[in-house]
Formats: sequence, structure tokens, C-alpha cells
Amino acid sequence: MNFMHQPTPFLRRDILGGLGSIAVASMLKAEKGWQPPSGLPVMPQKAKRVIWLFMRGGVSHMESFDPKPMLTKYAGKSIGETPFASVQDPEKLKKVRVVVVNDANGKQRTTIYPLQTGYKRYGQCGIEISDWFPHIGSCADEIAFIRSMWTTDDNHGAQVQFHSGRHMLEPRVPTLGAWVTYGLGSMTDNLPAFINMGPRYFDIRDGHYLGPAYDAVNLKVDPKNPLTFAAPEIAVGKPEQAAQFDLIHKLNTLNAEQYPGDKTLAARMKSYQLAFNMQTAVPETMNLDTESDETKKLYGLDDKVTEPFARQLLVARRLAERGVRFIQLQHGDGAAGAWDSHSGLKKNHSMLAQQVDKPISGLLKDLKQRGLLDDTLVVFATEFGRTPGSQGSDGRDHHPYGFSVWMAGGGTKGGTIHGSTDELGFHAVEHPHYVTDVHATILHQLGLDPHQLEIPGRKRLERDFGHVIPEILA
Amino acid sequence: MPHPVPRVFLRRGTLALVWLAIPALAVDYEKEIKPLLKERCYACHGALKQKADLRLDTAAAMRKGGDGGDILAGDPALLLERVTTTDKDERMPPEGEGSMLNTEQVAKLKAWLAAGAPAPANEQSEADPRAHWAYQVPKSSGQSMDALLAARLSSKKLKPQPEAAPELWLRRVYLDLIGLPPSTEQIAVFLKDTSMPSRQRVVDQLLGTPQYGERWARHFMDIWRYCDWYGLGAQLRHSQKHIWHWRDWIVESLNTDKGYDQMIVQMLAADELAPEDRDILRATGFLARSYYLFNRTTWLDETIEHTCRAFLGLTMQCVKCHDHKYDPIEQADYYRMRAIFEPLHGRLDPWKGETDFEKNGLPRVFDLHLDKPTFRHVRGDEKNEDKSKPLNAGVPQVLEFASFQPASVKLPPASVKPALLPFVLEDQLRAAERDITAAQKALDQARQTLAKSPQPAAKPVTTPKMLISDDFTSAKPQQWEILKGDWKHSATGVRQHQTGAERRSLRLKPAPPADFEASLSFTIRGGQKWKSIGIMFDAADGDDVMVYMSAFSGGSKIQVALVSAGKSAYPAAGSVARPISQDVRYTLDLRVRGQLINASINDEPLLAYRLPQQRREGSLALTAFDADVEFHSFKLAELAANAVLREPATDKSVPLADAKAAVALAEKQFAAAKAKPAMIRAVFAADKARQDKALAKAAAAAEANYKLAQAEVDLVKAEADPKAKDADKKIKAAREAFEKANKKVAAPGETYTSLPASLKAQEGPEESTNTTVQTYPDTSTGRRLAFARWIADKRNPLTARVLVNQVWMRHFGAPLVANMDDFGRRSLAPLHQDILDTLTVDFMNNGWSLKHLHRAMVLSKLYRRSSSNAEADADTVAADPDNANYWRMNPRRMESQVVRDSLLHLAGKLDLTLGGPSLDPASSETSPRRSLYFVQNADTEHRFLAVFDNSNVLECYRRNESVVPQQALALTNSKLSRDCADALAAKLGKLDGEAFVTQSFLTVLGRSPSDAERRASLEGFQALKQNRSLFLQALLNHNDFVTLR
Repeated sequence: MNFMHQPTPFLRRDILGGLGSIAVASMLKAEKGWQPPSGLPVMPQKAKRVIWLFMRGGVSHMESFDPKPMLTKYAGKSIGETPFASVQDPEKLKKVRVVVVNDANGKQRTTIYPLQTGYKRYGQCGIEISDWFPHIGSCADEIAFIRSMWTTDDNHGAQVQFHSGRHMLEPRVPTLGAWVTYGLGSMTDNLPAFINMGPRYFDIRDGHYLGPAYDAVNLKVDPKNPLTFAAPEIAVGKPEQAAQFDLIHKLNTLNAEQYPGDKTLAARMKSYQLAFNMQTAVPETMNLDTESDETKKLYGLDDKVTEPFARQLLVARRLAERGVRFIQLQHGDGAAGAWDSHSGLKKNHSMLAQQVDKPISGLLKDLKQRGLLDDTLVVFATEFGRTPGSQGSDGRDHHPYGFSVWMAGGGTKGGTIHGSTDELGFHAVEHPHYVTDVHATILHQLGLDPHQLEIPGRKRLERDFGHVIPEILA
Repeated sequence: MPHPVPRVFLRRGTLALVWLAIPALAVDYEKEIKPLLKERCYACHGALKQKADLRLDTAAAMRKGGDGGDILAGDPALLLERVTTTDKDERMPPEGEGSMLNTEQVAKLKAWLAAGAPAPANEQSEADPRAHWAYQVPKSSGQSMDALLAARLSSKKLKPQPEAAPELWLRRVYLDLIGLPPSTEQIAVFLKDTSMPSRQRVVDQLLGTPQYGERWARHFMDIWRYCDWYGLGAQLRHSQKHIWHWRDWIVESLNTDKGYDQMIVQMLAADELAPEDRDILRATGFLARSYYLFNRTTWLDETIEHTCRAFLGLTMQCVKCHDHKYDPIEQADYYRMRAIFEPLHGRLDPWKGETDFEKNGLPRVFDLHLDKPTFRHVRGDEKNEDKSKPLNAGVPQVLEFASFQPASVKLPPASVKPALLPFVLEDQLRAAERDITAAQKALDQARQTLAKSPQPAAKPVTTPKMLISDDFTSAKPQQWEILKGDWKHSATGVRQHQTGAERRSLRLKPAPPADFEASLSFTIRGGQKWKSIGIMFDAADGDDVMVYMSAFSGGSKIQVALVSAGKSAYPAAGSVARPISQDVRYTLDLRVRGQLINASINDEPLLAYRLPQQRREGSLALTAFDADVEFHSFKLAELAANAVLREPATDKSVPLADAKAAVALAEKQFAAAKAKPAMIRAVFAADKARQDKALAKAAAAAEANYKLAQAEVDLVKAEADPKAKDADKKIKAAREAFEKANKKVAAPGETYTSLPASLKAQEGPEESTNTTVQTYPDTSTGRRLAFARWIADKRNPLTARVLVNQVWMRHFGAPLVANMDDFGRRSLAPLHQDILDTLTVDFMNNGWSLKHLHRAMVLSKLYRRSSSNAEADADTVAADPDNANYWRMNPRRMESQVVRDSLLHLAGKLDLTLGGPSLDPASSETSPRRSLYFVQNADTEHRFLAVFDNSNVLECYRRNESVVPQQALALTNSKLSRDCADALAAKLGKLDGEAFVTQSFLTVLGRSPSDAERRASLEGFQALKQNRSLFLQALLNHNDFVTLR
């Protein structure tokens, strides 16, 4: 092997089954009856990869994908004065587990706050989508909307819950992306299988008991500095570095003669090859020069407002093309997340929606025109919705009882609405879904059994495995 | 109960028919049926439990049946019916206890039944769970581990590998015992004598260095979940501040080779065992670490779970919700154990030499809720307590070798009242003295500032010779020349109405004296913008000096302006901001002597300025600049010879009033500081004596005095800032507080506040801050002490075994019992149980000494063995490819901390300072301290340490040893790796190519290169253009560097 000529491809499965699971496998080899995942789907596979778009802070479901005209009708009235007073039945509110006691936020807000935006129907399906998301609206026929989500954390720890399926007060468990990567491994020799872009706060790791090998690798869209240690921190010439990798490889090859059959050594040699390739592949993926102006416009790279997220989504598509399994994007800065509109909801949401709307539609259209949407599952999610009642004069509080998410591609049924909340958007009433139902559906589309993912002594989640949502599948 | 257990098996016609279509197959009961039943049914129908009085662990037992009779008879047999029914109430395993059997499994059962359910005649029923190997007290074989291994290898016809090269052994023990590689000198010395006595000396020497304690502390910090505090911003949610004291206790305990049994007891119950020993109290950081602000149950759950997994290899966490599925432990056992910890709480006690708890303090636990009952949580739901019966503290019966009888512990006074700790009085007094010194210094400073503050002009001793005195009631053309402007006289003076940016002046016709004193009284009535008036002097040939006042709304001030050659300069030193309003009458006094100018407004000295140039002769004028102004009077006199003028202050002087206020406040603060020691002494004396009325009175009086002094400070503060927001309210409140304090001094009573010498942890987020509680319960339940002694008892079959397994895994790369934290029935008797038990007994008989255990392991033959398969016996490799029989050593990868520490050590940069507060994690790539000293918690990311599998603070019974490309990137691209390579290159700089390669191998990998390696290296060195640093960095990337070969 010669690092002077790069990149050199090599067998995938060796790396992924290899690298990722070496630790777990060697650690637990004495355990009988357990095998590390083969990396092959155990059920028919509809989707090969996931692009996970997470809006941090809590998107108002009533002002995005779940129109509630009653809010405008009863604006200013207290919920108790409306015909829907029963939504506040204490029994119905019990599911919430409070993390931050006596927080100023996460309270019941009873004065109904009218809708802050209008709705239009889109596509052949005629699904109503708020005026803040016209571009996503133009993709309505590709999207399956779930309007009946619920969760149990009334604070932003719900972000952890949406990624992992477990409440903040319980021990951290691996996130969905970690399980997917664990179950299926990588499809590339040059890039990590599981990538995160964008800020995280409440849980900065994914692998947990699966081990750090299953943590998402954090990438930045800056081609000059996309990944920690991806480029020499003290400058070294390219030929010198190639010579260095060459020497490392030669010495390790000689070492393999002294230690025949040493699997860790073999894995380490391959990891150097992957590392060397990554140094080129990661900046190459981040470099958008080769993309046409048309494509860049499609995502909104030509507009200051949409440019930052557009860049991430275009990179996401390039990562998807290059075989990355799980691409996790987080939108919205700050500890709580930018979407957290306790006040000034109209200004805040309309601005944030503008940042993501066109880039997301661009992604869906681009994936479709390249034939990638068929086996790429795009997920749009947030940790909870927002209260039908107003907080202060012009905000909405956290709302775990009902909210919306959507999926597109990867064998889902576009132009679908599934489930509903009540007239006020308070509770998920028809086909209510806990967050792990979304996980189970994603795993199902990827050909993984939500019940079969485990390592010795630990089963994925142990409970609340989630139920596949067949109604949104093609 | 999660599901109903029907008392009688009923036959129903609700069979799923799937299995009927599958033809009967020949099925092996032992291989296919029994394991299935074991996995899915035995938990409730086996040796552990016999629900419905039914066992499935032998065919005979199944025929005997339970409440519903023979489950194998009939068609379909009851066994089949119950696993295939769609009736959820009937189906086995019941809902929530596992999914339904799949069609393949059902088909096998059916086939087996169809064949007549054949089973071996002598089938043994499942063993009594209590007979599980790990629940039996270990017995020594009396043989060495090497002898036992040799016998096993020989009986299996396995051939062990030969010894590894001595330098590899040396690198192993260095990295294993101190976490740092040997130097080339240490290698050279050892290679001169590699005999056993020499090896013993090396091991003894390593175990004697403080680095041993650091190295092994990191292992135990993994197992015991060391974690610095974290939360959200400043809110502490997890662990406790200054928990590093516990880390230092671990390091020190290991270095002094404290018995492991003692370490356990101290960590769980030092507050009951040695309540007065501050060093030992640090051990309870183990319990304080699991503190969780939001939920006490979470805290106690984690405490129970990890105490049991770490010390006992017992998985109690399963029992929180239901009886154990594998081990003879029931749900109530969980809550009996919870009762041990139910009274537990955390607090910060003072640390000698520091009174600020943000800076230092001793995090520790104590029993607070002595009488709090413990109830079982139905299905683990904390909101659903079974209040019918509180549970007493206890341990699982299966392990109760002696009855569990906690004895309540009477606590010494200083435990109850940390203020009585001997150093508290001293520290508090020292802090108070420091405050006095600081207050004294502040007062001195304030007084100096006041002294420098401009003083009201001293009245001249002789009356100045008055030259001009004009009240402007009438025009005096012989005295004044109008230079522009519209000047109109009236009874109140002369008024000039014109505005706009232009000078309009009254020039004094007589020449003024060189040193003069002038006084101008005026009122500014308006202006477009600048609204300035001034006294101009030395005016000649277009040059002049003017002292003016501007009522400019953008910043009113008094200013010296220098006009020279048509250009105006406004020196900063000649400028003082001062509120000047329209329609307010002011008097500007100007005194000039030589180059020195003094100016006051309304007798308030403001400006002292020295002209940069020599004076020149010129005229004097009164000027308006963009000002509608009225001059009321003007006086001019010769400056008295003895008049005192101020020099310009070198530092910015403070206005007199402010300086006076600052002195007044500093005086009060000084008085308050001085009142404090008396209070501290009186309060301490009263606390110490307890119940002494006279002392209590004295304490109350001293406290009242101090509080009065404080109230005075507050009052002065409030009054000094009359323009603050809500100033009136604040002043009023301060005055009331002051009056109240005054009354208290008059009648102080007998109650007083103890010294603030302890900080109780918040009992929940509803407590707005850590409460300063000064008196704690005077007894402790003794439950934790009894529990700890039960764990650390020689008769406890688990504790020492679990520890020996932990240490073994770290020396030999693979554990004897695969599940480090579960020695329950899911862990079958290990292949090398004889070795485990022999070492365990030997360990306990030697005072639970870890150093003894290390010696036994690292001086063994096994530890010397090569880790290579090369030239191994082919049959051995084939028969035992995974090395289950230890016919060779296992190579291991360095933990992340060892990688970083070794890099720094090789570079000669590692700072070996021991202990102390946790260090900023951001500095971990630049600081040369050892890696265990950086802040570690779930919120902290260490870029470098993370890629090599840093410890998971939530649980880490065994480090991951992943191999990922980020490790390669970290070692090739990080500044850390390159800096170390550079430092090494500097050390090895003078050697020629060949010697350089050899020495590089020896330094980085602890061994010499083979011929092939030397050739490849020399070629590589050339390819790298003989860049020594890059070559050394390549060696740092050699697999052998991160590997313990």
C-alpha cells in the first residue's frame, strides 16, 4: 500500500463490523449466544440512510403543520371558557415528568393565543401547511406528517428524549443514530458512518453503553476545519505526511509478522488508511465548488438568511451520496434551542422558519432529482410543541402533550397526514405516538428489528421499544 | 403485579394454528428445547420460582405439572396451548415478561411433543439458586496461579508461549503500575539483571512511587464513577463541589496500601466510622458523587445500583421494579437496601484554611432524615408507594451470612456542629483579621484620596488688591470694549442674546496683572448647542487662553482652551466634566499664577491645570460662545502672594463630596470589620459550651453589635446613592434595619447565629440556594456502617472476588469472570475459578492489600509470557484461538489517560505534582499535569482523551478499547503529539541516522528495532528528508506505542 497515492479504497465491512464493534465484541466475547450485528438488515430494507433534521427549542405545531383555527376563534378566552375545557383534566396531564421544578417555563398557559400565521393547501394531497413554510409546502406530496406526537418531559431535556427514547431523569442510553450505526455499520471507506452537525447541549454523546465508537462525529461545514484533528495543527507538507503514513504502515506491517493474527493491529492499520482518506474526503465533501449554481440556488445558498442551513443540507446530501449512514443536523443555537419562543413567537418563528424552509425543500427536491429520496429517510423533528395558550403577551410555552413531526422518502408515503390533536392542538388524540414510535418506524425502514438490537446485558431501551407506524409507510 | 397468574390452567380452543402446518421435525431436547425453556420460562417456573406450583426445568417436572396438571399430555398439550394462545391473559410468557415464541420455536416444541416429549432419564433439575458458585465462600487451592494454569494447559494439551523479551516485561509493569513508560536508562539498568530478584525490586520500586496511586486511582475512578460537579450554568445538579478531595483520598489510600476492605467501609460510612477524621471523611465522596438535585430517588437508585455492581457484582437495578429474573433476590430486597441509604444527605464541611465554600470545602455525606420510612415502589414507580408496610434496612437474604443489625452511632459535637471543628475558630478569625486589614487599607486609601481631592480655596491671608468690581447695571465704555455681540444692561447685569458658533466678548480695557484672581457670576439662558461662557486672558495677536464652562447637553464641563496661530486645542488634562444647567446662576472663580491655573465653580474646586507654554502679555475678556448669557458681576484682583494654589493631581482626583462619602463608608466598614472577631469568639464560645446562658447572652450581644455596625454600613451606602433606582425605598429600609439593629443591641436576648461553617446540599430545586445549616442530627443510624462491614467481610463471597477479577482484567487484558459487574446466576462458574478463588483468599489473608495482589500477578510466569501467536503450537492456536486458557499474554491498548501522560512523559514535559483541585479541562492539551486531574463530567469534552475512549462518568466497569480513525488523526495531527515529537527530536538530535533510529525505538517503544524495522525506518527517515520530529511522530503512531505488548 502506498499513501503517496490516495485515497486507497478497501473493503467496507472489515472496517465497520471491525472498527465499530471491535471493542464490544472483544469485551464480551465470553458471553454465549450473542453475536455482534452482521451489518446486514434483518428485514426488507426500504431506506439505507437517514437525514435527521432536528429543530432545537420546540417548534409550534399550531403554526407549522397542524392548523387550529379554534385558537383564533377563541383568542383571548381562557381554555375553561371554551367547549374544550376538558383538555385540562388533571388525569390527562399526568404523563409529564418534571425535571426543572419551579421553572418559570413549562407551565400551563390558559389564555388562548390566536394563530400567528395563515395556512394554505399544497400539492395534490391538499395538505394545509402554514405560511411560514411555503417551500416545504411545495414538497407536501413527498411528506408524511404525524400530527399526534407526545412526550413526557416539559423542558428541553426532551431533546435527549427525542434522540434516545428515554426521559432526562433516567440514565442516558444510546441515541437512535448510535443504534442504527451499530446495527448496520458504514457504507463508506472514507467517512465516519454517523455524523452530527450543529449545536447540542443536554447530551453531547450518542454511544453511551455502546461505547464512544458510536458517538456521532461532529463535523463543521467549514472546509478548512471540518473535523477535530482532520488537518495537522502544526503545518506539515503533504508529501511529508504521506511519507509518514507510509512509514507507519510499513512498520505496522512488519509488526504484524511478529504478531500474526492480531486483530486489533489489523484494525489499527485499516484505521490509519481510513484516517488518511478522511483527511481528503472530509474537506472534499465540505467543498461545494463543484455544485452547480442551480443546485446552490435550490437550497438557498445565494441568500444570507438561508445560507448557513442551506450549506449544511447540501453537505448532508453530499455525505449521503458518499455513504454516510446517519446524518444528524441540529438547528437553533443556545442551550434551550433557538425555536424556544416564550415571547415574540411570531418574529422568532417566522425568522427561523425562513432559515430552514427553503433549504429543506431544496434537500428534498435535490434528493428526488438524483434518485436518492427513495432510499434516504428524511426526518423533521423537534422536542415538543408549544402551548395553545399565550405566555406573556406574545409567546407560547413548552408543550409535551401534542406536537408534529414529519418524514419523507425512504419508503414513507408522501402526501399523508397521520394522527391528530384535539381542536386546540392540546393533546394528541387520534393515533397518539410516543417518540420511540418514530424510532421504531425508522429502524423498520432500515431493515432493523427494534426489539433485536442489543449487547450482552443490555437491550435497546429495555421497554417502550416503540411501534412501527404502518399508516405512513408506502 | 404486572400480570395476573391464573391459579388453574384452563383448556381453551383459542389456539393459533400457525404451527400446525409445520411438519414434525426431529428435535433434540437438550440442545433445542431446554435452552429455550430456560431462557423464556425458568425465571418463574424453575428453581428460582415456582409460579402456579409449576417447574419446567425437567421433563419429569413438566409431567408432574402444576396447578393445572401435566402440561405435556393431551393434544394440544397445555404447554403448547399456553404459548400459542392469542388470549393475552393466558399467554405465556405473560405480556410484559417477554415476546411470544416465534413460529420456529413453537414448531420445535410441537415436534418434541409429537415425538412423545423424550428427555434423558436422569435429567437433573435446575440447581438451587443459593448453590450458585459465586454465593459460596471462596476456598484456596493452596497452589500458585502459575501451577494451576500449568496444570490446566497440560491437561488440555495446550502449549504456552515462551517468555516475552525482558524489555517488554519492563514496559508492561511500568505502564501497568505507574501508567508511564520506562526511560532508556531504566531499560538499560534492568537489562543488566533480569533475574527474579531484580524484577521484584523493579516492582517494589514502582509500587513505592506516588505515580502508582495516581495510575490505579484512575482505574478506581472509572469503577466508582468519579465525576466533578456539573449542572446548568451555575446550578449544581450532579455530584458536589470539590469532589476532588475524594480523588486525592483514593490516590493516597492506594499509595499507603490501605486495605481494600477498609477503603470500602470508609467510602460508605466514614462519617459513622471516623466522624472526626477529616482525611477519612473525604472517602464519602463516593456517595456524594451520586447526588442529584432534581430527584432523590434517582440519587438513591444510582447509589444502590453502583454500590452493588462495583463492590458485589450484584445487579440490584433489575429488582427496583420486580423480583430478579435470575438471582434469588426479591423486589423488597431492593427497598430494604434503599432503607440503608434513606437517611442519607450531602453537605460541604469547612476545609482547614478556607472559609469560602466556593474555593474549598469537604464534600461528605451524613444521615439527615433519620426517621424517614422506606416503602416499596410498586413496579418501581416512585409515585406509587406501597404504604401498607415500611421496610427495614437489610441485605438480600441469600447473602446474609450474619444478621444485619445496624447500631446507631452517637456523633461527636464537631460532627453535629461543624463550627466547633478546631480550625474553624482560627480560620474565621484569620478571615476576619484579613477583612480588618482590608478595611483598614480601604480606609487609608479613601483618606488619601480625600487628601488629594481639591479642597475649597483657602481664604487668602491678605486681602487682594481689588482692581475691578462691576455689577454691569450700566455700560462702562471706558472699562469694556465690545468685541461682537449685542450687550444690554439691566438691574441684574448685562445680557448678550446672540447665539451661533462665534465668540462675542467684552474686552477689559485696562491690562490685567500677570498673576490674578477673577470671579465671574453668570446665568446661561440659552444657545443653539454649545452654550459656553468663559474668561479669556493673555489675548494678543489672535492667540489666547480661555477657561470656559459649557452647558452643552452632550456633556457639560469646565475646560481650558488654548488658541495659537488660529488653532484651538482642548487638552484633556484641562477638562473636568460637571453638570452645568441653563437658568442657574454660577460663580466661576479663576486664579492664575504663572503657568498654573485653578478654577472653581461655586467654591467647588474643579480644575488645576498647568499651561504647557510660557505666559505672554495680553488682554482679558469675558466671552460668550453660542450662548444667550447674563453676566451678573465680575471682580478682578491681583493674586495675593500667599494664596495657595493647587497643582494638577497626577491621578484623577475624586470630587470632594465623593471622597468624603467614601471615607465615611470606609470608616463604617472598618468599624464593622473590627466588630466581627468579638462576635466570632463569643459565638464560638457559646456554641462550644452549649446551654450556657451567660455565654449565649454574650454571643447574642456581640452579634447585635456586629449587626448594628453592618446596618450602619448599609445605611451609609444607601444614603450615599440618592439617585439609585428606588433610592427612597432603599434608604427607608436601611434606616429601619438600622433602628431595629439598634433596638437589638439594647436587648440582645440569648439567641444568636452559629458560625457559617457548613453548607447542606439542596434537598431539591425548590430550595433556592444551598442552605446554611449549622446543626445536624447528633446520631447516625449506623445502617451504612453495618452495610459496609457486611460488604467488606471475609465471609461475603462476592466482594474480594469481584475486586480480584477487576485487577486481573487490568493486568491480563481479559477478566476471569466475563461480566465484571454481574456475578449472579447469569455468570457461569468461570473456567479459572480455582485461580480466582485462590487469589481471592490470598488477597483477604494479606490484609486486602492491593500491592500484594499486584505482586502476585505481575511477578507471575503468565505475566512474563509473550503476547504473540508467532511460532505458537498450531494445535494450541486452533483449540483456543481466543486464549481463554492464557497460553499467551493478551496485548492491551493504553487507556486514554496513559496515552496522553506517556506522550508528555517521553517529551520530558510531564508535571508530577500530586493532587489538588480539578483543573480546567480546556487546558488539558497545554497543561503538563497528569490526566486524572482534569475536570471530568458528562458535560465536559476532552478532544484528545475522548478519541481514546475516555471513561464514561455514568458507568465504566471496563474501558472500551475501540480502534477508530480519529485516534490516528489525533496522533498524527494534534499539536500535542507533534510538540512531544519535537521535544524528543531535540533530545535525540545529535545521533546519526542508524543510532537515531535505534534510540528512537528504545525511547518510544521501549525496545530495539529488528533488522527489518531498522531498514524500513532508515528508508522512511530518508523519505521524510531526515526530519527527526516527523520520524518520531511516526513511531508514536506505531501500534506498539499505544499497546502494552
